[in-house]
Amino acid sequence: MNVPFVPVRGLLGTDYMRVRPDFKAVPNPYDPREEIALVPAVAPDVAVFHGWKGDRHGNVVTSGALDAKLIAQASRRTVATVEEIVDGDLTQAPHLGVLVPGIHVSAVVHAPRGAHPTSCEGRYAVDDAHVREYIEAAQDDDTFAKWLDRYVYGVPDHAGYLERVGLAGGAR
Amino acid sequence: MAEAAGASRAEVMAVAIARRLRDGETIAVGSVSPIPASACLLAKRSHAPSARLILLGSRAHFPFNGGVQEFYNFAVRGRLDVFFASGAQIDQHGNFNLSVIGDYEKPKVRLPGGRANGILAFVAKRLILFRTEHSRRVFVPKVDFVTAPGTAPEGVYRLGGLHAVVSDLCVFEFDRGRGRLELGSVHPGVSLADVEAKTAFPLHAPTPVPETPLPTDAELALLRGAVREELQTFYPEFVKQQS
Repeated sequence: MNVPFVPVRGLLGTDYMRVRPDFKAVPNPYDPREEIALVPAVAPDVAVFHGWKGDRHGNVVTSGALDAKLIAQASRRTVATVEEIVDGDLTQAPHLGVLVPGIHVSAVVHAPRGAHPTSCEGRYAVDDAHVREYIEAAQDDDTFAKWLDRYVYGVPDHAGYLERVGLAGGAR
Repeated sequence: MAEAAGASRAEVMAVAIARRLRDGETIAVGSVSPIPASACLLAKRSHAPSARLILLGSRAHFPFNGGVQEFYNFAVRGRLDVFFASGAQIDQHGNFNLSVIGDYEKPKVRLPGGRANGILAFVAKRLILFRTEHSRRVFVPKVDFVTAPGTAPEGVYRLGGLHAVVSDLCVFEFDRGRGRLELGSVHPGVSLADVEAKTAFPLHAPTPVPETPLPTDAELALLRGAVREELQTFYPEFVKQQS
């Protein structure tokens, strides 16, 4: 959104104000009886989110439970991975969920099962076994390095990853 | 978990929470909160049929399509009657810590809880804390880091505040005037000495100490039937562990 800061009701009286000198407490300029926190806006260089559908114009439809439209507007570049690429123009079609217009999107990547091991609402659930494996591996650097080798560095691409986790062909 | 007259501690906690929820209220539950979520579903199916539930992670009970941002805006407008949080540490003044154990710069454990609670703890009319591990490392005299305070400084926008803390051993009430937690009741099968031994601050217990009411047969039947079935759709792991 490129606003420099956002006023936040809350935070005052928490230790975030102590460890984050960039968070400021100021009188509300419109009601000086109120003390209010200001926090700098987060402006990511790149945002990545996963959606249900994308088209060739960069329009993406995704779950309304996500903040995809917000992060797409906050970031310098936005990459959307999607379950499917569709013909036509998603802005002209009725849809469920939230439309993130292509004007906010830098690239759309066809990546079925791209949210794995997390869920994609309405399509597939969290892969609990894989998340457990990750949590266990993340307990120390050695086992985590092995996890990275197995699932990230040791596969050539997304299709290879899906094969490794037993979801070859983007199976639903 | 130990059983009291057939009810598990998780069920006693869920019922203790459910009975604090009123019909017509708007009640929100964040992530990783299966016990409060089951309490809400129980209340809705018994004494609070027109409660409006916002349960993060549930498709059926998330009435927004503008993401978490829309939920926050709704909360900051003062629309939440009740919100739930947990605490890695909870202290005698009702401060809770979901941010970091140890020094902030060199933490022993870094936790994820700052985002929601730095805001929602200020704007929900009643905040209820829950914790399934009642121990001296959780109930400490002073938290390492204040993720949200029991009492907010003067002049700060706060629409409500801490109401109670429900653990697997007892219920603490938060006395806003004194700014401290006071023992409200102990769960069936738990003694005052048990709670004292596992709490690292004074309990301010009333005499005699009331016992948290046991779940009724009807409440247990709901928790193990319709509530479990619905919870299964967004907390499958929790339901598996409880069965």
